[in-house]
Amino acid sequence: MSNLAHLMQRMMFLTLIGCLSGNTNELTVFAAENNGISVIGVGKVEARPSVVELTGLIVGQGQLAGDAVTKFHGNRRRAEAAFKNLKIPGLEVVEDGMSLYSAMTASQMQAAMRGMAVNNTQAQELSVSESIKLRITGIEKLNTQELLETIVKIVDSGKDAGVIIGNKTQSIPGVYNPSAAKNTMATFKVINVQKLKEEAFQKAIADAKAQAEKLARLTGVKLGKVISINGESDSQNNSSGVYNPYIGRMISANNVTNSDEQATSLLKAIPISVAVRVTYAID
Amino acid sequence: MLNMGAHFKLIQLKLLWLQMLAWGTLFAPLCVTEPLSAQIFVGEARAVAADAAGNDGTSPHKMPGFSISVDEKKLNLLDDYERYVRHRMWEKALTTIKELSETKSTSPLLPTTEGFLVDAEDRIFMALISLPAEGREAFRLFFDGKARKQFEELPSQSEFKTPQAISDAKKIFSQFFLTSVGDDVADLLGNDAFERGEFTRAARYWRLILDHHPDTNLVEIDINVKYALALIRSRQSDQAASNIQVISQQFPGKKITLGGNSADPVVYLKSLIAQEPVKAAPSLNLADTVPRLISQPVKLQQPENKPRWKLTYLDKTASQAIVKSQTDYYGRGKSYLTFVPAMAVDEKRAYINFYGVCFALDLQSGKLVWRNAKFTDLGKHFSNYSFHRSSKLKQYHITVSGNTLLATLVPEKEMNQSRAAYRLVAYQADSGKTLWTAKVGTESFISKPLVEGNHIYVVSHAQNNKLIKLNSLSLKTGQKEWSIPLGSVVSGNSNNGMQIMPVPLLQKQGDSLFILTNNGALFEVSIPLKTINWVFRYPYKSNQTNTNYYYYAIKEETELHTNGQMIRDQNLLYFKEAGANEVYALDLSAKKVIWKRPVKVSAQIVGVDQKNVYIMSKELEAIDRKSRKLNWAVSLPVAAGGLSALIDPNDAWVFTSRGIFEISKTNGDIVNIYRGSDLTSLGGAIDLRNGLLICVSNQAVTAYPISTQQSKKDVGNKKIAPKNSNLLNN
Repeated sequence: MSNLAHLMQRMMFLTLIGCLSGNTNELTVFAAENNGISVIGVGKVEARPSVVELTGLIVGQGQLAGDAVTKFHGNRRRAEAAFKNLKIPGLEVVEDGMSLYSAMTASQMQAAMRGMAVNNTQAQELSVSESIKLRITGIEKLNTQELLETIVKIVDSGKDAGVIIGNKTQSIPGVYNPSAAKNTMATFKVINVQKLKEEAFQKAIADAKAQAEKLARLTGVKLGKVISINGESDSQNNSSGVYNPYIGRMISANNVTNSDEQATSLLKAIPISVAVRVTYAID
Repeated sequence: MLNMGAHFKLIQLKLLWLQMLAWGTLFAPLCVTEPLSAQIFVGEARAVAADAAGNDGTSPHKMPGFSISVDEKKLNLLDDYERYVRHRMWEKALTTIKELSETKSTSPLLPTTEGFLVDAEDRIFMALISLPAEGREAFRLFFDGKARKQFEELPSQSEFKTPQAISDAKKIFSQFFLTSVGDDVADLLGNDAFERGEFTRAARYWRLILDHHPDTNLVEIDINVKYALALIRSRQSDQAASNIQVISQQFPGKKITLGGNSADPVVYLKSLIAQEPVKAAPSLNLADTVPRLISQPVKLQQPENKPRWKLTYLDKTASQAIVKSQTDYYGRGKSYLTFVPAMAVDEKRAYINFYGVCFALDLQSGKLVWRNAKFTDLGKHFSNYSFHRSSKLKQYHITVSGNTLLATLVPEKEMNQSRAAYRLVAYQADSGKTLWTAKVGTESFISKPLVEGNHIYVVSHAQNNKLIKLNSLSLKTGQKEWSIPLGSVVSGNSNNGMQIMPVPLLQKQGDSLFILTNNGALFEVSIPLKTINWVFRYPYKSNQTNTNYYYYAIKEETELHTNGQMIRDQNLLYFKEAGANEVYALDLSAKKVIWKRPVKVSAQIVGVDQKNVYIMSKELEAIDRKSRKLNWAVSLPVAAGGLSALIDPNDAWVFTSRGIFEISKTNGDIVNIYRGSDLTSLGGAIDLRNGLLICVSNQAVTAYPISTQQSKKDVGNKKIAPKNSNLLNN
């Protein structure tokens, strides 16, 4: 009888676990069959971006290599001076790599795509270009209007100085160019993500403990020690905002997942969330 | 008899000699490095010269592009003559040159090795005077008697007035200049040319005596003084100064008799140089988009964004029609959206030619004075296929002279004809009343008309004919006075199958008219003689394949409506053709290319100062006039046609889609940006008149006042060439 009662009790317990695990939004919890109670605790911290970043491209092009270099140096010097003259607190210009290439013109590209002869390939211009990042820190101190004015100042002076601001790339006629359709000018970033994650983990652990205690109370068992913890951060996937393939590409290219920053194209609080799976023993 | 050992030794010796010879040959070049280096240098220099000439050994009349016929028979004879001279076959050479100078040419031009086509007689004369000393001796031996006899038959200096006598003297000069009477006849002709006011020609005769008759029986100091005088009178001050220096060194303290009085030639000539005024700029028609040098720095009055006036000429109907036409296959490739109309300005008004709708604005108030058609009517033409077939955006010209306004356009009644010709119409500048429409057969006028006195010079072609002609018309009646054929162009095809003719550019300098064909040829035409002085040819890369697919990218040169341009500074001419990717610097006196360099096809020359040639596309570039290196370049938000810049002593001013940019001429830095009030436009042309900075965009004309000090100084013609610089553009 005692065995039967024990079996019944066990079945009821498993049914309860099944019900609870079905409602994943409320409680993500289940008990391991033999190893105690396992729960998944979620911790979430929201942080307002403190950095705004704009990408820029300085280009010098010429049929003579010397011309391309002269133009590049001139454009670079003027761009640097233009941004410096803005005297925006916290603005820094970060070099992001230089490249040298000889590219086809739009007409030549179009001809090549159509399987036609590409003329004047000898007259292709040499391009010297450098990507730069225009980074303003401490934007959390500014209100939206002030921030907008600051960004517009940078965009304007960049355009005046001949810097290509944003992610816009050269269009090939007849080919859809998503960057031309929507040219994202600014990326907002939260910094100190690791510190924020620590806070989130604390919250996740507390959440897990609360869930486990609740289960123990419901099932009439006593919660024991923590047997195992499996923590994972899903903040990147959970960060809200419009999906932007360019930011995604940029993030993957720069391996941002391991960095201390997190980006979004929208100026709003970014959620940093983590999840931990904790297994408690049953005493 | 030698024994075996002796034979062996002999063979060894021979081998040793052979080895020495081989090693010697191998190391010989190392011992004569200097001569070899010199040869290499000469070779490089030749390569550079050939490269600069741009002909790669191709005769100028055979280069791709503009077609000019030459007398092939004469050309072959000339080749034979030069070959005989190279081989010192004097008898054959002299027989050939005699035949050359005596037979009449079927074509007025013959090519030179420097990419020029010159007057056939001049070319033969040049071949004659380039004979080496041995050849000259032979020449005198052959022709001295005949020349002397003919010279003696000429009337004396006092009677040397009749056209027949001058013609005979010219014949002796061209055929027998190298004989002992060549200097005498050249002196006669020099005196005659000087008396008739043809100072450049007179200087040439006397210069030839000095260069080719060192043993002349004429008084050498007299020839030198006459030469210097002719140079001064023809305003070639630099050359005159160097000639005065030669006189002071070669004839120190010598006196000459002038008007019965003894005078020191050096003092006298120097005083004449001081008296001779600096050559003034000719009357400038400001309708073009080319800037001139401005003597004073420009300063915009504050508040910077407030214009004196603004007139938006692009009405809603036309604007919508233009936008719509961009999606039309036939309209898309023409970049109507970025078209900035041509403007002409005089003291009272600004005149615009917008697709044939001509209108005048009052300079002080900006009010519309008159217009020849309604702006709203343009909208309906834009939706018409025939309009797109016949519209050629570079052929809408406008120019003003006195109270006559000239415009090239398709009259409104003919706008819907698919093969409409571009007419030259004269209006009264103050009222807009039509004075006349030029009727020169079925000619279509392609160049901007150039007005000088009572004459209009304009280039035209018959419909469906590639031969272009220079016409002189009466300003009063529009009747044709004379015309000369220039040659045949290589025309392109538009995406609707219509012929696209190049648009030549005309500039007048003294008696000469320069014509840049924008098709691979530059002409100098003598207006009094109505003949072509010379033609400079360079390869013109024409693309006649029809690549105008709908999705094809609109090229930057189409978007910016790039025109060809030439600017002359004394004997140097800088030019770049539309559609070409090279800028040329040409020495007009030496008839040779100083340099050429690649630039963007979309770039247009917009100015020249003492240091730089300025070219503009989506960037403003400063190219060093001496070294042809790029001194600096600055990227600008240029988005429309009307490429132009004002060049003041410190800065260059450009009207862009983001306002008026003031750019330092030192390093290309942006000194200031004046956003202005035409904020929604794509930018365009900039000009300065009566204290107003006039900006013409793709939708409006806006005038901004410049500082009072500047405007007072710039009353009248605002663009003044600096002293000692004959910097002209038109």
